Amino acid sequence: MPLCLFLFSFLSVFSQDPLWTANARIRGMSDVAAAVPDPSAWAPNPALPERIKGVRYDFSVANSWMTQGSTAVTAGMLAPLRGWMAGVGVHRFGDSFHSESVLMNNFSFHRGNTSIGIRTEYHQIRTEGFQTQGFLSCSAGTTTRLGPKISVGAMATGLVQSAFGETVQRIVPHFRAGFCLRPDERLLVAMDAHKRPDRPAGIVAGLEYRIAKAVFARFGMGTRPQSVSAGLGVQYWRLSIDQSIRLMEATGFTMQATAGYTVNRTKARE
Amino acid sequence: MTRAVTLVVFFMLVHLFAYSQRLPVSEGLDMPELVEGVFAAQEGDMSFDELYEQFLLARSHPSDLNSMTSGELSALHILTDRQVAALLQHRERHGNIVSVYELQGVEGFTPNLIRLLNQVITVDDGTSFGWKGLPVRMAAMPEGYLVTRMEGMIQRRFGFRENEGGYTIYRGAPFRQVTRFRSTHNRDFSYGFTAERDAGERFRWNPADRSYGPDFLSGHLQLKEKGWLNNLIVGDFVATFGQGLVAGGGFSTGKGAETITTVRRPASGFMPYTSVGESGFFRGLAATISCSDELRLHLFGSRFFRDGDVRIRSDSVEYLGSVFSSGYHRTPGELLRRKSWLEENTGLAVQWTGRRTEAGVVLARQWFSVPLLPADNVYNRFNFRGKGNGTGSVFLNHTYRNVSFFSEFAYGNRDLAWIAGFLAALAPSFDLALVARNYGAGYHAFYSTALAENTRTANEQGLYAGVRYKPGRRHQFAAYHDQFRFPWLRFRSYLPSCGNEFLFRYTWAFTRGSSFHVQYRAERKSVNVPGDASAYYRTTEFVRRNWALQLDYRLTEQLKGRIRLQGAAHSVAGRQPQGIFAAHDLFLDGRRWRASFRYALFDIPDSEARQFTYERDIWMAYSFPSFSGTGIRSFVNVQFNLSPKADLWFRWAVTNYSDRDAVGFGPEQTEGGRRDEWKVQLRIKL
Repeated sequence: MPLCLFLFSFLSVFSQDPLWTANARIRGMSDVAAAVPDPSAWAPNPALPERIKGVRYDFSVANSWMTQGSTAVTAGMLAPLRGWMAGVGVHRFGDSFHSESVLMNNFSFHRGNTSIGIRTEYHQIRTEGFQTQGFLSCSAGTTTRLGPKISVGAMATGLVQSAFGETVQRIVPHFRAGFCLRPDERLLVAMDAHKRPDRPAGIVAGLEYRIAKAVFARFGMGTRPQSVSAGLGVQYWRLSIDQSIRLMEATGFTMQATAGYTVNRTKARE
Repeated sequence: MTRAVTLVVFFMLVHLFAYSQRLPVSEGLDMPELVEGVFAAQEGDMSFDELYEQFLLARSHPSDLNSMTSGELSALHILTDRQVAALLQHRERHGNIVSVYELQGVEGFTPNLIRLLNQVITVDDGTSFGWKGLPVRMAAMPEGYLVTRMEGMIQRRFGFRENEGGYTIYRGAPFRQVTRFRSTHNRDFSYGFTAERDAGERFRWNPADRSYGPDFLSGHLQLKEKGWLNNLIVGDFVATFGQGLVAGGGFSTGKGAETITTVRRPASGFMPYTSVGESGFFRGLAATISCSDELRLHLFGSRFFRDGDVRIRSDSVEYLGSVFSSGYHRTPGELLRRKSWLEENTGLAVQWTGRRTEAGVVLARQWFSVPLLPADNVYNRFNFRGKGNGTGSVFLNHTYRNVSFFSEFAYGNRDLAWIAGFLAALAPSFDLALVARNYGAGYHAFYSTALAENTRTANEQGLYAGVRYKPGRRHQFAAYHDQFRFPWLRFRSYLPSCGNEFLFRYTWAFTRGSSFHVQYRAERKSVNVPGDASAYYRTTEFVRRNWALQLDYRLTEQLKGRIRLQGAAHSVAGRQPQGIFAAHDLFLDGRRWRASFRYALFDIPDSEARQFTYERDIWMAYSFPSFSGTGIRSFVNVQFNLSPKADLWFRWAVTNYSDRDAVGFGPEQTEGGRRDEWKVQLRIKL
């Protein structure tokens, strides 16, 4: 199965958003990603795909109705691989005039209270009338559980980028560190500090609250750029459906929906 | 850097010295701690005087726990909504509370909370006194006191110096006088008066220009719970309904280190006004009529001459250019503006209070004797103009399980405003407050004090999120983040703009009476580029960053101390104004006396980074000065219990600047780098 997943990954993907990997759950909390466990192949922190049994499939659609041609589609699969978690995925952003595609492979390793992960990504950027550009990049992350209620994490994306042909396009490296707190089993609170070399540092904070047995409400705010997010999620049997809306400086409203399905899911290992 | 290190070393040495002191101290409500919690955000353009006075007054007249409404309980700013709901439920189930010890049985009431609450509430048997024997009870003056205070400055200000013609800019005596009297009886009545004369103002009796002795006179008579007449106030009063979009008088704090309870306005109805602030209140008659246990009708009428700049247009029509609220009437110019126009207010509110729901309608009408026509600037385009303004709103509050919703929707001056939010106890140790607001650029209500970043509740959209996390008895984290947007231009920011504000505070109570906290606050806003006088204004980002570290310690029951370091590191148009303020306080308590001392150093080269800091003052007085430059600030406060019925206070404060030969500007300027201020106060309990 893992080998099949790896072969499937030769499709394509991408976008310049530093956290373009966020699904609707994470986006509903304003992209708090450094320390929040996420049971999907596209977990923004490469170290954080939740340890599950079985295979998990995710599909996500995002659209910013204030910006033309900004529809993004993401699909991924996550599966255990001899002590590791392996994930593959594809992402496409844009329209027929301009599109960005990413293909990724994610591997994370868990030992004790610490996880490390690495992700390789192939980016392809097409703009009508210009030469298509492609390049490889690498992301890495780590997370540690400091106690039963708190964990910390850090990640860096766009670390190594090797160009093919005449490629001049690059994605900007992006660093992020944060914590995730669970004061109560119904509540998750997280905060990240993020930094790009070309911009001042910003902060995002979000929370997830279980308002009913299978229903989650989410909220988040961020600075630089200013953003406000809210979301709802439902988990039923092996299926999870999440919906988010984000209002961000410059880009306006973005809606996102993610559906996930786990095959042969028994229980999480922790 | 060297200066900063010197300051730190110095205060460590002072700390060591403090250990040699062994003097008695008693337990008491830590007003500075409460005030600093609420006023933690340092703002130069906010007037804290009135807020502080009302805060103090509310605490110096404990209310009866059995008769307080949910709004009044919330207004204490001590209880969370969950605790208020638990207390009301307890009262419903078990009847009136007999003793404060009974509070231990109420969900969420910890011993520390009860100890704090005990100092601002009383518990009586719930008796309503009615009309019978009222004159006798009033004549007995229960809980009555008379306070008189004088304060001044040793150095002579420029405004008090005679020129060559023998005239002075300030016409009155160079000291300030305040006299207060008040008598209250819970669930029965309250009456009192306040008289005040600022330094430089004259004591005049001339009914023709509405002068009756002291420059400011205020008084009230309040009757409570007289059958269907729930509340009647004749004289000066404030009114608060809904979230304060139409009527928001009284105490409001908004954003501060208390991140949860202060963002929701308690609907406390009519309350007597007893502060020395000369604006922001009504003068006339207010009545609350109980139609049933749930339904109340509030009515008020007010007629009041106010200060303003009344001018004459080219077509000989009088108009009001601007309204003044400083209350100073010292110079001929200020006297010309004194009580120069008439303001009339009428209004009514219908309020329904159920077990978990509170709803109502507020209508208010305002009329001016001359039309208000503010300067014709582009940023003023949507401001109110004219002689009359009508405002109306509906409000709805509801508590569901662990979530308390609140909202108000208002209309005034042909524009809309609304605010809505909730406070939620998401976990036993975690509270969340979320408030959204949208005030139209044209919305106008003179007495609105709803949660806002602007000084007016207009031209603003925003979202506030506050959290408080108590992982244990000794640790507390609090933070808020407020995002706001101004769709139209603002004063000194001539482009539509947006910004945000963030505060984080961690408190560690490591022993009983000793604690440490660290606080950081950052605010990002748009301002005009300094010095750019071109027709096309350009704006730039102004980032204000303030931080504070504070250690409170208790050496003995009689001796407590406080070390505080605070500073600023701003950033605007390529400049980075910075400053640091460091202070060490000592608080001593004897059997018949109390004293407090401060020694502080400040090094703030740029006035843009000026530091505001709370100073412990004498009872019912207030001190929240700002500092810039380089120098030393010190003060001593002493209180003597002359007898069981008389107390005397004395305060001496000195500021020594080492970087200037004159302090202040214009008529307030004094020669030399030193300023000595004094206050003397006498209280007689009647």
